[in-house]
Amino acid sequence: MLNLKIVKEKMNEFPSYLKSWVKTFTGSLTIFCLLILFVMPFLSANQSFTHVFLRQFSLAMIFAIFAASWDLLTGISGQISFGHAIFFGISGYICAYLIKYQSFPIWISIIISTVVAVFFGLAIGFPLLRLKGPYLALGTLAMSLILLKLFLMGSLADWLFGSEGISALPGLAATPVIEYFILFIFMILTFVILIQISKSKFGTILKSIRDDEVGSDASGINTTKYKIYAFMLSSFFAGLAGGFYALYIGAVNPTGNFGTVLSFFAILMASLGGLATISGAALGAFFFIFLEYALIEIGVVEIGNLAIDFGLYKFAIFAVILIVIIRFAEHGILKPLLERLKDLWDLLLGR
Amino acid sequence: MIVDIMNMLFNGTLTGAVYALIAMGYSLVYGVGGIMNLSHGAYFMLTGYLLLWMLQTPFFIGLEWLTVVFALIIITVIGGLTFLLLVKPLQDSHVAVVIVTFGLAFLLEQVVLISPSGTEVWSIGQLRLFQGYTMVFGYPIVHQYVFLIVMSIVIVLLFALFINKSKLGKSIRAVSQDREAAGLMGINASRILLYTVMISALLAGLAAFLYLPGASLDGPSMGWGYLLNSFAVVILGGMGSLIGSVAGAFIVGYTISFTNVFVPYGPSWAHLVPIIIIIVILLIRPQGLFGKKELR
Amino acid sequence: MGVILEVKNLTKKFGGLTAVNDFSFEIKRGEFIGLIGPNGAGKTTVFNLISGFEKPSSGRIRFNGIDITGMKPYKIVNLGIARTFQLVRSFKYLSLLDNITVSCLSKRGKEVSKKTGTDNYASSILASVGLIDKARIPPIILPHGDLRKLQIGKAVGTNPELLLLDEPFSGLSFEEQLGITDLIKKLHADGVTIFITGHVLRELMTLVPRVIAMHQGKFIADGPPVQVANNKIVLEAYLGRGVKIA
Repeated sequence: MLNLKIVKEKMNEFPSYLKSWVKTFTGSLTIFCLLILFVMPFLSANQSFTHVFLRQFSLAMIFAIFAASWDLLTGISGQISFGHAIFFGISGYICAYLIKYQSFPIWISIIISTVVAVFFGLAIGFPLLRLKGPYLALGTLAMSLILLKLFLMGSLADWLFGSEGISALPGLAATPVIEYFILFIFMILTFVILIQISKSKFGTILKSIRDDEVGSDASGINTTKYKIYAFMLSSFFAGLAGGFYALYIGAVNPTGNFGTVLSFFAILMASLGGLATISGAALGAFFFIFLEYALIEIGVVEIGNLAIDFGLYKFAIFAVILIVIIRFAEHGILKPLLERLKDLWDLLLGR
Repeated sequence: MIVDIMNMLFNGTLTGAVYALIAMGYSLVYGVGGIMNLSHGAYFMLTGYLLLWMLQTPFFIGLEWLTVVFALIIITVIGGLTFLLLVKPLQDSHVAVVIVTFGLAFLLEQVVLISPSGTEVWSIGQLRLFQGYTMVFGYPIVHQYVFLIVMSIVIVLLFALFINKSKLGKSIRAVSQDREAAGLMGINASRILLYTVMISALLAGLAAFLYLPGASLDGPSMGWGYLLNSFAVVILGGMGSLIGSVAGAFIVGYTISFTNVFVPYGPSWAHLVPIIIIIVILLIRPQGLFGKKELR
Repeated sequence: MGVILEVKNLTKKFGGLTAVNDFSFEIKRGEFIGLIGPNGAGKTTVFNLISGFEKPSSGRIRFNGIDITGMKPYKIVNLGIARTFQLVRSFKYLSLLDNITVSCLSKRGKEVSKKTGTDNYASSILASVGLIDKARIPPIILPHGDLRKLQIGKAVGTNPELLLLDEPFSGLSFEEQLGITDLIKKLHADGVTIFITGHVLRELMTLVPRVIAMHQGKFIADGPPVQVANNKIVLEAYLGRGVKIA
């Protein structure tokens, strides 16, 4: 599948391609956002800034990777996963286990745990892909609940660490700023790769399976093979995010790493930006992590003699947002938002 | 030993009876409209909490039976609204319907969770129709549960009668077999679907009313468990097959109770049984054990 | 001219219903052949069985001497049999060009696209079916006639030796039918063996030199259109028993 000559040609074309891309509206906007993200850590050396606020950005980047991986599988390939926490959680656990009990270096652990996640993608994808549409959704949900319950089970606690999980892990990096930049680089890499995949011929085949699997079959495409590729690719990035997340939190436990909430998060974030856009996942991730942060910061508000704790309401609010988005803007807000911004931009430049 | 067998048989029948009610509606909705309603488990859970909240209200003291009527009406209306507001506009997209009903289930769970009664275990034992138990071969048979099993059988039979004999039931069958043809016959498929979703919510509500007074409200996340188990039942019986749902419910029921009683660490494995059934059946016979998508 | 497709004693049962009953025929390389029969005769089932979308209850199908009975659809496509569907299917969120590109990425499609480049190959097919000016738009906004052309384009993209066209004229206006007819003739002239179904006799009769007629899943006649059209059983199948033909 990989044609070296074409790759080489592409590499030579790359600088000019990049140049023309930057000049487009989306290109310059992306560069602008990345620049902001790049200078962010230098804005303040204040402890509360770096250790609290900046870490929210790091968290958002982890979830951006996770949500984008979900979008590849569900948005691009049409294979509905409601159990994406499987790959996120398994990778987190493996990573934590290797570091804590086998004293593996952090990076080796992350690599191994990501590979294990891909293996899970293959092992789960292979049997489950016979299911279509909503059946697959529930099949994956069921799989994730099996894992959750196995890990919670007291009788298996000797092997799977029970409800306590594994704690007191070292951080991903010595300081929050370095952690931030590591995640920043990995997020950019993830998005470049996933967006290129979605635009490639390979991506076209995945989308054809999403739109009409029978038709794809009739076009001579081995749909099972491509669906498994999609599952493995998706679980690779979900696993990467899961490994980072375990180190970010410094601990793993069943509900925190396998919970339905995590799968819900991936769906929520990717849907906000828009299914099958990939980059929408980043928008969604940043939006929801900061909405969550804001709701917790706002905390208890007293209206009359009624005290409302917004921190408690966050998931209810998220659920409402998800319902409203799917109901009224099935294709997400990223595309319409970009169009409005572009109109505004053109207007400002007097075009 | 005989106690264990009694335990297994009775609890299996009980679980089967509860899931027959929940899964029948779930299966019906999928069979008629191809709608995978992930908030179905949440209807069951919410009915329990609606009953609890009303029982906690001073107004209903001495009028406990009114709470049941209100709760069933509310849950039926919520079922109808789910269809009208969320499912109907999105019907063309499977992904959207699944995600939006998933969102709704999540929302209902969270709403209950942030209510004052969200985080504790509650009993609505006031609504038990029958108190006490009888010892049979050394195993206590709880009267309320006997009532449940009998009621469940009665409801299933009435429902089968309704689907086969009544005008609405016949329309529902017509739509499930061929929506376009039913439309040509002057049947408004959308309205039939609305009724179907409402009936399924009512059935889930009835199951909650019959079962939960004898058990307890274990927290709002219990909805997911009931959703998944009914999914197991329906997968086992074949989506859209009513006989299949009922048979599947009892198979799942007995398998769970068997695991509970006879398998080491049974109670913790019993949670997994339905999920394992789902996976195995989906892999071996995706159309279910009892034939194809048909309403009988 | 060797035999390209050989169907022997093909039978397909759905529960109690026998959709295709002990059906046998041969198609030679380069032929242009029709399959006729009234609605529900089992034509689409025959196509589904040849293209692998359904598995036969019994019987054998050989293509170029290879036994393809019960093979997966994509494998059959990759051996050189492409098909279109009676109900048009398309990848509704992909552009027309990408709709064709997918087939050009199949095993046999790649053999051509390796030489010319995938995009060029897909564009040339899109041009040949007359949709090149709509290359960038998705099929959801296309009129029915264009969707039929797209279908044929998608099948051609897999670089087939044998093309199965299931009711390619259904739901089309007369002008649109002419367009499709020209397209099919051109494909045949390029050396593709064409096997085509239709339930209205007239449209096929002028097009093909040979037809096979079937009724209630059974073979009833095989030969030149004029001969088959005057076959008593064919007339009965279409018009009912006892109707006098002028």
